[in-house]
Amino acid sequence: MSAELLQSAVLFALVWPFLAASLWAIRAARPLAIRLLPWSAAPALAVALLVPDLTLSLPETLLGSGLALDATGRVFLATTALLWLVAGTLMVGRRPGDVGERRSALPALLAAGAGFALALADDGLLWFAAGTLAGYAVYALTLQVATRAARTAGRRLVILLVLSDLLLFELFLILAHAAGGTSFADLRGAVAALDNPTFVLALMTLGFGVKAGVLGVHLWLLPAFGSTTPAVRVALIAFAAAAGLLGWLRLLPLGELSWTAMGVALHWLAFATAAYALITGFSRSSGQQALAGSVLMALTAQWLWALAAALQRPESGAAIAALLPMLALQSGLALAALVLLDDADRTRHRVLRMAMAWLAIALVLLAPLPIFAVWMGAGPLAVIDLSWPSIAVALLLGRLVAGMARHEATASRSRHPRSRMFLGAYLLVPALVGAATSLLGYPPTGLWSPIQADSPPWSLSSAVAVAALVGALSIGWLASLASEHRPPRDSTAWSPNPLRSLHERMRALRGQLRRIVRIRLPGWRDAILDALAAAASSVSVGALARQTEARLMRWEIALAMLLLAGLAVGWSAFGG
Amino acid sequence: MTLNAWVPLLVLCSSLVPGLLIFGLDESRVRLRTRLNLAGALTKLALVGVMLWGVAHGHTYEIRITFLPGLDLALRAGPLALLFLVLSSLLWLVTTIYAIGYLEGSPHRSRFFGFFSLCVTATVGVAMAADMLTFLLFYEMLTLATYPLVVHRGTEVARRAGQVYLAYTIGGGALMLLGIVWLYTLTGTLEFTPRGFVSELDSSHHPALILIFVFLITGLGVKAALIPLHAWLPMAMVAPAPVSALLHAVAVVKAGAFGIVRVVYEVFGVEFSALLGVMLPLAILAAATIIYGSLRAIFQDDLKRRLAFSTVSQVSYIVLGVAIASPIATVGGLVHLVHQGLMKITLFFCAGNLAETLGIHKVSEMNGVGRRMPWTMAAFTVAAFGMIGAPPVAGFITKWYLGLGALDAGQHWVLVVLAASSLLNAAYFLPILHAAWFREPPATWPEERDFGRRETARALLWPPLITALAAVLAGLFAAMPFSPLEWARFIAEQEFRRP
Amino acid sequence: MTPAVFYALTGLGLFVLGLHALIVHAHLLRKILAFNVMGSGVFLVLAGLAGRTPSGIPDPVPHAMVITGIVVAVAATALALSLMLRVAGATGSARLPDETER
Repeated sequence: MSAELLQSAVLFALVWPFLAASLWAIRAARPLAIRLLPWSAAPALAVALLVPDLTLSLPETLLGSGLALDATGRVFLATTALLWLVAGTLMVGRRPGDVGERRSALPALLAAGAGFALALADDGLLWFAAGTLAGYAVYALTLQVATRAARTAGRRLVILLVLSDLLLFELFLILAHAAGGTSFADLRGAVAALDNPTFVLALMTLGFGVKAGVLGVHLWLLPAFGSTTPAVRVALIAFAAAAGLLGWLRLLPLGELSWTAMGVALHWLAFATAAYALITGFSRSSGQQALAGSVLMALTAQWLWALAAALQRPESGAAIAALLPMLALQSGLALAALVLLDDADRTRHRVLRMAMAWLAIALVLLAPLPIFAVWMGAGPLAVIDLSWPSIAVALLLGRLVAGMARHEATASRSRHPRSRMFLGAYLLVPALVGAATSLLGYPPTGLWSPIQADSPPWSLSSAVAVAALVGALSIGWLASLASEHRPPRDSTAWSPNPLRSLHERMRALRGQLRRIVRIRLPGWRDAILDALAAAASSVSVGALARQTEARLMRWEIALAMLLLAGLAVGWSAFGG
Repeated sequence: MTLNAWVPLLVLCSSLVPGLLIFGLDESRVRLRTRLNLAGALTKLALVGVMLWGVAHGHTYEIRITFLPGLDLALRAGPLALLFLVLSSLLWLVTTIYAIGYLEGSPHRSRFFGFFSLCVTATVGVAMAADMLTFLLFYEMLTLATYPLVVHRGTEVARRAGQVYLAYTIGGGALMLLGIVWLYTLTGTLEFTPRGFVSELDSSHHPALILIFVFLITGLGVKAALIPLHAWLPMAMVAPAPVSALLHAVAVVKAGAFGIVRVVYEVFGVEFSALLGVMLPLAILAAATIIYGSLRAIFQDDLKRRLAFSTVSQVSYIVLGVAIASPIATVGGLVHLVHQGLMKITLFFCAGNLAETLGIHKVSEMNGVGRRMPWTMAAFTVAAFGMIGAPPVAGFITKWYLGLGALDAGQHWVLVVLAASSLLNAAYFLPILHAAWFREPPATWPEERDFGRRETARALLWPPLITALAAVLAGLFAAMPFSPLEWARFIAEQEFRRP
Repeated sequence: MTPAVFYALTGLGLFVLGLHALIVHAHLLRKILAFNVMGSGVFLVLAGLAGRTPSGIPDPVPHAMVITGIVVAVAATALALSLMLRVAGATGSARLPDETER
C-alpha cells in the first residue's frame, strides 16, 4: 500500500461527509444525501482501524495546515465515527419522508465531517475551524425539535459557542505568536515554554470547557440533553469529546510540564464540576435524559482530574496522555449505549436490556482504572480522595440504572425500539474491545503493528479503588430506589429529615438563582440596552445644528464671528 | 507612446465609453444597453488580466500627461493598484449582472447605467493613480458620479441623503486639496513612492507635516467612514441595492481606505509616520470606529442600515491594520480590502434579493425566510460568519493577521478591540440567522413576487452565490500562491524597509 | 503695514462679509451677489499679495490668475443666474425651499 494511496484514503474519509452534504444542493439528490447519512462515517471508521500512522500536509489550506493520524487522533476518530454511525442510523429512520429528519440531515452531515476533521487535524487553525463548524452544526441539530426547552438550550449553546470561539481565537493567536507556526507541535512547544501559564490555561479551560461541560460554561449541556432526541444526544457526546476533550490533549505536552499550582486549580475545578453534576443529577426535577448530561459533566470532571494529576506529576504525564484517549473511547461509547438503552422499549427484552445496561456501567466505571494504576505510591486512601470524580460518576450511574429499571410504562417515543437495543449492543462491543486493550496494555496504533507495552501495574490501590466505585454505584442505586418508594411529600408536614431539608433549601436557592437569571438580569440587560439606545439616538447632530443655526442667524453675532475668523487667518498668514 | 502605456488608458475607457454611449440610449433599448454593459465589464476584466500577467513578468504599465509644468497626470499599474483593480473589475462585472436583474422594469435605467459606468471609471482611476493629484482628480470624480446614483429614486428621502452625501464629500475633498497643495509646496513632488517621499525633510517641518496628515486623513476619512465623518453612509442606503452593494460597500468606502493606505505607505512612509507620532491616534480612531459602528448596528431594525453600520465598522479594520506599524498587520489590513469587499457585497446582494422578491426591508420581517429563499440565506450565512470571524471564511484570515501584527508590535489593546468587535458582530448577525432559519415564516410576505419554481430571478441569485463562494475560497485556500493573502504579503514586503 | 498687506486684509474682509450674506439670505439672487463679493475679495487678496516682492515690482503670475478668475467668475455667474431663473420658473419663487426637518 503506497503512502499516497493511504493519504488519499485519509483525505477521502475526511471529505466524504462534505461531499454527501453538497448533494443537498441538487433537489433531486436530497433523498440520496439523507440515505448516505449513516454511511458518512464508514470511511472514517475504516481509516481509523486500518491505516497506519501517517501525516499529510496541506500547505494550501488556511495558512498551511496538515492532517495527522497518530495514536490519539486514531482513537478519537474511531470514537467519533462509531458514534456518528449510530446517530446517523437513528436520524434517518425508516420513513424518509419525515420533514424533521430531512432537515436535520444537512447539519448532521456537516457535524460529522467536522468531527472527523477535529480528530484528524494536525494544525491549530484547522482544528479551530472544524470546531466552529461542528459547534454551529450541533446548534442547528439542537433546534430541530421546536420545543421551548430546545430553544433555550440552543440560545445558551450559541452564546457560549461565540464566547468559546473568541477565547480559543485569542489562545491560538498568543501561542502562534510565541511559536511562529500553527501546527500542533509548534503550539505545544510554545505552551511548554511559557513562564506564566495562568492566562493561557484559563483560556484553554474556558474555551474547551464550553464544549465539554466544565462548570462555569456548562449552561447549555443539561438543557440540550434534556430536550433532544436520542440521536442528537449521541451526537452531542461525540461533539463534547472531539471539540472539547481532545483540545487539552492536543495543546498540553503532558510529560514536559510541571505546573503544580495550575494542577491544583484544575483539581478544584474538577471537584466543583463533579459536585455540580451530582447536585443536578440527584435533584428531583431532572429527567432521565438530563441525567445522561450530568454523567457527561462528571466524566469531564474525571478528565480534568486526570489532567491535573499529570500536571502535578510530570513523570506520569506521558503515560496518562497515552491512556486518556482510551478513557474517552470507553466512557463515551458506553454512555452513548446507556442513552440508547434508556430510550429503548421498557417492556420487551427486559433482562437483556438490564444486562447490557450493567455491562455499560461496568465499562464506564472501569475506564479510569489504568490511570489510577499509574498513580503509584499514593496509598489506598489517597487514591480514593484523588479519584472521587469517578465516584461521582458511579453515584450518578447508579441513579441512572435505577431509573432504567423502573417498569412503569413511560411510553417510549421511539419508532423502532428494537433497533436501539441493537445499536446499543453494537456500541458496547467496541467499548469492550477498547477496555480490553487498555487494561491489558495494548496501545492503539492500529492493526498493522501491535506492540505489547508493559501491562499496567496493579496493586492494592487499584483494588480499593474498584471497591470504592462499586460501593458508590450501590449507594447511588439505593438512594434512587429509596426516593422512588418514598410517599408523596406532604408540604405542610414538618419533616425531620436533614437531608430532605438540605435538599429543599438547595431547591429554594436554585429557585432564587433562577429568578435572578430569568427576570432580574434580563431586566438589567434591557435597561442598559435602552439607555445605550437612548444615548445613541439622542446624539442628534441635526438638533445641535438647528440650535447653532438659530443662534448664528442673528447677523451681529454672525458678522462678528466671521470677522474674527478672517482676522485670525490673516494674522496667521502674515504674522506667522 | 508604447503599447504598454495605452493599457491603463484603455482600462479607463472600457467603462467610460460604454457609459457615455448609454447616456444617449433610449429607455427601450434594453438589449443594447445590456450588451454594452457586459462588453465593457468583460473588456475591463480582460485588460486587467493582461496587466496582471505583465506585472508578474516585470513589465510596467504607465502613462503620463503633463498637466502643469512640474505636475503630471499619471496612471501606473503597480501591485497595490492591481489589488484594488482586480477587486473592482471582478465585482463590477458581478454587480452589473445583478443590477440588470434588479432594475428590471424600473424607470431611468439609461441614466443609472451611465452614471454607474462613470463611477467605475473613477474607481479604476483612483486605483491606478500614480500621484496625489491624479488621485484627487478621480476621487472627486467619484463623488460627483455617485451622487446621481444616490438620488436615483428621486424621493424626498433620497434627495436629503444626497445633500448630506455631497456636503460631507465635498467638504472632505476641499480639505484634501488644501493638504495636497501644502504638501507640494513643501516637497515639490506628489509621486507615490514606496516607503514615502517625505522623510527627507528636516524636523522643522514636522508640525506642518502632522497638520497635512490630519487634513489628508480627514478628507479620505469621509469616504472611508471614520467617525465622526460617517453619517452619510447609513443615509445613502436609500439608493437601490446594486448601488449600495458596489459603491457604498466596495468602491467608495474602499477608495477612501485605499487612499489612506496610499498616504501612509507611499506618501509618508510607515516608519516616518510612526516617527511623527500620528499612528497611535489613527489606530485609536480606527478602533473607536470599529466599536461604534458595531454598537450602532445592533440597534438598527432596517436591514440595509444595519449592514451600513457594519461597513463603517469593518472598513476601519483596514485603517487599523495600516495604523499598527507592523508588516504582519499591514498584510491583514491590505487583504481586508479584498475580503471585506467580497463578504459585504454578498450581504448587500442578499438584502437586495429579500427586498426585491419578498418586500422585506427590516430584520423583524425576516422570520423563516430561510425556508422560502434558502440559497440567498445560505450566501448570507456564509458572509455573516465571515464578518464574525469564524474560520474558514475569509474574515478570519484578516483578524488573524491583525491580531498577530498587534502582538508583534506590542499593542495588546488591539486584541481586546478585535475580541469586542467579534462579539458585537455576532450580536447583530446571529439573531438574523436564527430568525431566518429557525423561526416560523409569516402567513404572507410584505410584497411577494412570483418567480415560478426558482426562489428568485437568476440574475439576482447567482451574484451572491459567486461572491460567497469566493469569500470561502479566499479563506480556505489562503496559503495558495495566487490568493489575495499572498498578494498582500508581496505588497507589504515592498513597503517596509528591508533589514 | 504695507499697502500690499492692507489690500489683502481688505480682501479678507470682503470675503467674510460675502460669506455672511451667503448664509443669511434666502433669495437666490442675493446669494449669487454674495458669491461675487466673495470672489472679489479673493481677487483682492491675490492682487494684494502679489505686491509683496523684495524688488517692489509686483509678481505677474497672481495678476494673470486674477484675470483668469474674473473670466471664470463671469461664466459661472451666468450659469448660476440661468439656474436661478429655472428654479423660479419651476417653483414660482427664487428662494430655496425651506428645510423644516433635518
